[in-house]
Amino acid sequence: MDYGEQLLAAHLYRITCPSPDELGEYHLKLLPGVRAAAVAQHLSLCDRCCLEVAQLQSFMADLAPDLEYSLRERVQIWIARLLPRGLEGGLAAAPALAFRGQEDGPLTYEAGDVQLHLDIQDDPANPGHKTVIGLVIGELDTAVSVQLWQDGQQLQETILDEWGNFSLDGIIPGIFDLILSSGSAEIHVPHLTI
Amino acid sequence: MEPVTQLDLQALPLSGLRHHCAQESDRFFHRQEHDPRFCYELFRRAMLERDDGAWACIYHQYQRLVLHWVERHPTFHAAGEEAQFFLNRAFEKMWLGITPDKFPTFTDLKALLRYLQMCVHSVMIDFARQKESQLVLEAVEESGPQLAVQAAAPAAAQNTAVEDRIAANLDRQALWQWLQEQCKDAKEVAILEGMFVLALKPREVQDHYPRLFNSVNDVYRVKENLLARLRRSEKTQDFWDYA
Repeated sequence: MDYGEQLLAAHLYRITCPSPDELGEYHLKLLPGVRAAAVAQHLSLCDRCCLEVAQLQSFMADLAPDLEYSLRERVQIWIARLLPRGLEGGLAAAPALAFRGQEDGPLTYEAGDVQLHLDIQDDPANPGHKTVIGLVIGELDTAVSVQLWQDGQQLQETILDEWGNFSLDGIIPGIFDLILSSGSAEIHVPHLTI
Repeated sequence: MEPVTQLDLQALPLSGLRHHCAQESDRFFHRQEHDPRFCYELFRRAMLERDDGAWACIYHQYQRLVLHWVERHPTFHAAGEEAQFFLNRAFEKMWLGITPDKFPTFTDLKALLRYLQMCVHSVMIDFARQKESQLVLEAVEESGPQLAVQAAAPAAAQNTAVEDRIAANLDRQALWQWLQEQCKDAKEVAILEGMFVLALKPREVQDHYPRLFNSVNDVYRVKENLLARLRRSEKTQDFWDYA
């Protein structure tokens, strides 16, 4: 090739090659049939693209163990549903909380076979702050952690006692997510207004 | 108790989802059993619902893993570029690559992460191609004056002028488009693509297109005719003047 031809070749270098993304999607079998056929046709001509696909194959094979750990649905999650007042059922007769000064009564949530009663009161030790007293009725694993979250940050954590009670104090009023977490199950109370 | 449903997961606030994805990813990093549903749900919100908050969580959650993949790519050490640069490009590629209509193809977290791995490779190859293309051009341009000096006949130097001017002044795509338009048949297109784009040798061109070319000499003949016509073309001169 003379200089002019070389220059032309340099400017046209691989101009018809599929982009690396397209080669990648071809490798992952994500391309529609017509495009896949066009890429396959190109690969029959282009050693460089073949090399790149082989390189991708080898790279992904090297990384495959990163994605091969045992996957299992380890934690069961329940989103607690707020029950209308008066529908607490038989559980209302169970160890009821004594809520002094509460006009509306506690909030009652249901999550699977578990009921969660929450009472929100003023925190006597911190004026302007609130206390949440909770009672969990139903079967949950032992060592249940109760977490209070806001805007992606965990603010407080406490442990459920052996009778299913917990208390969170010194809360500045706002909207929170409450999570009750045991080793194998979780109950979420989203958008809890305190 | 009934197991959680997809609808339950979709009802989880982003904060809870992020917390679980972080927790499960931590288990993942420690090669323990982990639950992929929370992270998948983050991807679903990011890709299907184009939720920026979910996308930010994904970036935060997976940057360490993707960085690790970048550093393990065979071209990384020769690239001479920071890993962070490739990390950002890889996430961008994924964001652009998985459109809402494509998302249902990805039925689990593993498929999504495999796509992300592919994006890492893709940005590395983009970079390598760009660098290689630049080197090829520089090498030819550097060799230009020497070749011109070596060319004894003025006519030979004149012959190179057309390609030189075109190459220097036209956008690559426009150049390619224009050159294809100058081809009068499939043989010339095959020459153009085989020899100038894919850098095949004449023998390889004949091997790839046995129906078009009877012999290697045929390949040479068609190539010379094409180049001679390009050098004579008034349109070529027009292109030069216009550029």
